Amino acid sequence: MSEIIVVTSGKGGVGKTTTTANLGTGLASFGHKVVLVDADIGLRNLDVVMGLENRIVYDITDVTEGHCRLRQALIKDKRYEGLFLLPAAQTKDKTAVSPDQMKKLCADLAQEFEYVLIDCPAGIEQGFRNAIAGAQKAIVVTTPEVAAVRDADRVIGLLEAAELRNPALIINRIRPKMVRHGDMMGIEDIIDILAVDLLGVVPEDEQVVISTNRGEAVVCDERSRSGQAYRNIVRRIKGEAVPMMNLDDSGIFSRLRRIIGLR
Amino acid sequence: MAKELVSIKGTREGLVIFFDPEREFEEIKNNLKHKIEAARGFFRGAKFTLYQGNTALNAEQQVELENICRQYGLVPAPNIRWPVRPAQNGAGERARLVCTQLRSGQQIVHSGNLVLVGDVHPGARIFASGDVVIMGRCRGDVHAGEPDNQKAMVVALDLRPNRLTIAGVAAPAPRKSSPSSLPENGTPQMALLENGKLVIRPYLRPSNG
Repeated sequence: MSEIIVVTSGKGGVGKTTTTANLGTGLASFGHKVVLVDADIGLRNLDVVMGLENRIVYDITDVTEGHCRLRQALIKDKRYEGLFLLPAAQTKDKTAVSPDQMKKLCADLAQEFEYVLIDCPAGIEQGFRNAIAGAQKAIVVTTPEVAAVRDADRVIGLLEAAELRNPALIINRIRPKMVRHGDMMGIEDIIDILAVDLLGVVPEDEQVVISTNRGEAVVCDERSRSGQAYRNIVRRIKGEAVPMMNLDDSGIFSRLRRIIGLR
Repeated sequence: MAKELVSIKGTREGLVIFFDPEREFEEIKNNLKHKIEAARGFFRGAKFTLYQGNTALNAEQQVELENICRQYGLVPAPNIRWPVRPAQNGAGERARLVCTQLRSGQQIVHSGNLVLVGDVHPGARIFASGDVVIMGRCRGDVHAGEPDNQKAMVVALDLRPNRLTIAGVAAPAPRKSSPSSLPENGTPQMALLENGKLVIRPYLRPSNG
């Protein structure tokens, strides 16, 4: 059984593409066959984050318009055997693909892959409707900001209207120290507002910026906190019950434990 | 459920004792004694009445049963009503029941009364020509009594709306940091019009009469 999951958020810049890249890479690292679909036509990023930009020959519109076979457009990852990317077109816009074409594309990909992850563009217009058309499940990414949470609420409403019930929430870029001081919304606050299930929490981490710029996924970085958070989320997607990571690492013992690599 | 020989039901006014009319009177008598004894004085001092509908008991038998109850310290009170009537007359008004989280960008437009089981998130809107009852938190926009029903009211378990109007009358603007015109967190609140002004006050249950 394959799963077709859309990663969405409403608001831009909260980490949809980074999340898609890391979850996909993480799933592939467990030996699963995974394809990442960049649905952000005209503003493609996923290929850059994956470090696969220079390998693009065909893109998603070439497939939907029949210029090439699906196989030809899929780009194999540098690191993992079972990981592929279907890049977006850069010279076209969101109207280049229709929801029906996306449905068919997702169904075709599901024949061959265990996980189909769709990177949704920001906004709630045609690009969003295309991206969710073929999905069976949804992951909503938000950051602990009022605007991002508000947009996530709107998107969850639209997902439910499109029969994508019970989306799972990822809270990205949280800063435990700011939460402790009451300067940032906490996990409970966000869950309380959105009333959805929490899939995971990813702490703010400079390592993400470094990895992203290098075209590597931080999920492969054994030592980074965000990488650990992404690995936990990946295992939850696989169906394992993984307890939430303790983000409060202010204590001397947890810091020590980290230094000697126990976490 | 099999029909019981004797069953005792509690109401707000007192106990109502039912008998199965198809059984022998002796059986009923013994069972009643047994029941009250089994309660070990729990019923002592309680008001009671014998259910008058669908019984085949004659007046003599009724008195006999009443006396049994008296022996155990129960107090007869013939004016206990059964079935329990609602405190007010009339069958109440119809309302539409909606069970959902009303999220940002979603709205309900309804002509009549509305009961929402769920929260109204910021950015969500409700328009109703009658009352609006929210079994949850209200953070969005609520417009009750549209367009000119002055008797409409809004009730919520936690009423902190972004905008609130009744019959087009808006809530007073909240004061700066601690909006004293807005209710405290967590207690049920109701909003209604008094002399053409919108007031919000704690929602108290109607008295038990």
